Amino acid sequence: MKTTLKIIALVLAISATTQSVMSYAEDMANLPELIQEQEAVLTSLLSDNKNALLSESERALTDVEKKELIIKNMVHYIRLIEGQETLLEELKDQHFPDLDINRILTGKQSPTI
Amino acid sequence: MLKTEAIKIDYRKYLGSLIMLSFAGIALMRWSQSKELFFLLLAFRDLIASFFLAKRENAQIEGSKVMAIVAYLSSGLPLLYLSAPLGMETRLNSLIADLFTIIGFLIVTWATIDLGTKLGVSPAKRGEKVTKGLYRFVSHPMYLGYAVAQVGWLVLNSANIYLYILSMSLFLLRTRAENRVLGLTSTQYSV
Repeated sequence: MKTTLKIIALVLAISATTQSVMSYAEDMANLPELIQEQEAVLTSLLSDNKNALLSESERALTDVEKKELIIKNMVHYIRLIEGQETLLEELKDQHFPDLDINRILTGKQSPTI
Repeated sequence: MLKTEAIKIDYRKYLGSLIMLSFAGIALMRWSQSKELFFLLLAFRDLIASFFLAKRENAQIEGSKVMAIVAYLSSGLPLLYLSAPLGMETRLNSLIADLFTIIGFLIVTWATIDLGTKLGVSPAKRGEKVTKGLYRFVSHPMYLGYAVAQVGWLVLNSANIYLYILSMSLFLLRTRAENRVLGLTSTQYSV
């Protein structure tokens, strides 16, 4: 029985490893295209393109909604180009008197269960 | 400090079994949400641990209460590890962390299977010492597996270095206590 259990564990580990490697390879292969698409979205948003600034109900976005949309797309772009570390370094250099920025930056969610 | 106790019903094993069963449930839930196969491995390991704990052999010799507390603290420590800052890990770091975690938990799972009904958290002697499977090559493969997995979490967030050092120190204390309970000497076995 122990041998069977060990084989099941090995199969699960190999499958999990394959899944992680495949997912990484797919991400890397699609990356240039995704970055280009995101650059187009950002350019459109920043240049005040009317079509880009329409909501799902076809009405023009308010200033608050527009700001939110730009920030979300910027963060997505930063993730795509893997500029996280630069962003975090930049944030650390800022002054937030009412905010414990270091606690936020070091993360607070455990990667385990 | 070691002590010998008369054989009595070990209710703690049922509590441990239930805890591992609930961990398996959480791992299965995370697998159904993320479809990451690692969580299936984790659930499998937790289910095996739950089964073996429920059928655990009685301890003939147990370690001190202090070592039991150290062992439980050490077991809970991985829950304190931090994820990547703002959850924004790079793709390569994420892959490296995944690989270390998978390999580490494969070792842990195999060690759990090898230990079988002698499985426990705090140091105790339950029948003959296990010398088969991974225990032929290293005297504490379970800790080796956790050490490998935790390297992955170190890659995710460098602030985890302090937890890693603490975790390894506690593992070292536990191995010494277990060797003492099992009547081993450091010259006979290596970690």
